[in-house]
Amino acid sequence: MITVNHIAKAYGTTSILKDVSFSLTSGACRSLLGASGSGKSTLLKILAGLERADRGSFLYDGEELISSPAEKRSVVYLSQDPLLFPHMSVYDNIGYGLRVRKMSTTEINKKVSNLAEQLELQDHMDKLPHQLSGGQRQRVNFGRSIIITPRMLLLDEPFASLDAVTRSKMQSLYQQVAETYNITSLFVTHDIREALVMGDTYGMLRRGTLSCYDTQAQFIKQPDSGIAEEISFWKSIEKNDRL
Amino acid sequence: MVGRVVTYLALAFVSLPLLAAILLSLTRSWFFPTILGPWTSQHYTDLWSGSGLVSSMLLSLGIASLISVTSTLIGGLISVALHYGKSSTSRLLALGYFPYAIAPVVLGSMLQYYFLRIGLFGSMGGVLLAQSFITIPFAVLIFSSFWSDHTTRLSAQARTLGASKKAILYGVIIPSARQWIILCSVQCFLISWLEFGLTRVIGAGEVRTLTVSIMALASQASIYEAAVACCLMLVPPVLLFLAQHKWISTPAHP
Repeated sequence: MITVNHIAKAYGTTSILKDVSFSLTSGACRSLLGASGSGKSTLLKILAGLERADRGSFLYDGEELISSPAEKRSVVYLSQDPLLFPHMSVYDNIGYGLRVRKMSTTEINKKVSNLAEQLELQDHMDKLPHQLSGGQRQRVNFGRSIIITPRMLLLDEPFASLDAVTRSKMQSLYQQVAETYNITSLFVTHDIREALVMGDTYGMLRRGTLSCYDTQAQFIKQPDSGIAEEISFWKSIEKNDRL
Repeated sequence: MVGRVVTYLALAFVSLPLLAAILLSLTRSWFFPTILGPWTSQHYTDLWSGSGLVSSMLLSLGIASLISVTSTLIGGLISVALHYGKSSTSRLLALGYFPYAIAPVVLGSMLQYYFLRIGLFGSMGGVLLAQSFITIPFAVLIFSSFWSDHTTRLSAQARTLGASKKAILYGVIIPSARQWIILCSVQCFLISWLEFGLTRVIGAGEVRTLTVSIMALASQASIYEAAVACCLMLVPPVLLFLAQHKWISTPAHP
């Protein structure tokens, strides 16, 4: 169980996050929407340990993580740019988190091979990142993050740079793998449809303040969720087609 | 047509001096108007009989190798400190161009007083220190182009995956900087290998590197020996350029 309580962050006199609180059950995914500059990335970086919060707490099964260094949290931040290690093969990239945990080569080999098969990367294991497509790179990134079974995965618009077809495939693939490994995640996106597809629960960050919705119905009802506009857009397209 | 002319001019520009040095090193008793003198390999066999060129070459190799390793290491460490430091790096980096604004021989003259005072004038230690005044800022400038937002984010990614600072340095940063390390060490080696003015002034003729020996031979009108020395001078740079091309053929960033 993840519990985030009263997180606040300001840069100088500019307040970025104000009293952000939410909880997330094990294996669940909360979609997080918000306009640019609403503080989404700052929140993810604070949870990952890459930024310090001015106040607040971040509990994992009651254990306080807010003051732990990033390398001890087991909370992985996954950005839009896959950030693969350029000098490492696909195999080495996926197994990186296990190697730094000093796991035995046999065990690493077994885990990497299993996961690579699930991510359909088994034929690319010796390739370097620059030899992969955007979708393949993002799959390696997932593999590298998931293989260590993190306490929480923070996804910062991971599919934003992919085309519509690849994006859709990646969403399904991620959901399958996340379910298999029981991954708890916070999924930041600008795409309402993606938010609805990926999330079990939802959140909307408005100028540093987070509103949480536990069901799709609650989320859709929000006037500024953008869903009403989306529905009316598709209805107008359908109407034009009929005419 | 213009492109072809430029290509031929460039080829002539590179090959004619090389050709002259190679031909002169393999002839003897050359007098105008003959095109070429009689062929001989005598100048090369004389290298091993006390001409001093071999020892000059070994000395140059030693100095250049030491400069290459230490400057790359120190320059790399300074660039890390600048990247993670709080101070304004652009101003400090601008200082790195200082040695290039002054001719080496002038820089040598400016440093001479201090080197005399600390007892390093006319010594190999003095030459090494003086050359470092040029190569370390150069190394810092080269490494400054490595540090970017991408490098910072790559390190952050490794941290969230559980890597310690040491693991990030050895497993991520250094291997990612491979191209910069190779480029820097090769360039620092070449700067030192080809350095004359500063070495001549600070070394005071006591430290006879290959460039100092070539100038001495040329001023003594020993053109054949000078040509042999020039050919020796060419060997490491050619080998390094070939090796560098092979080593850094793999891209470091996706």
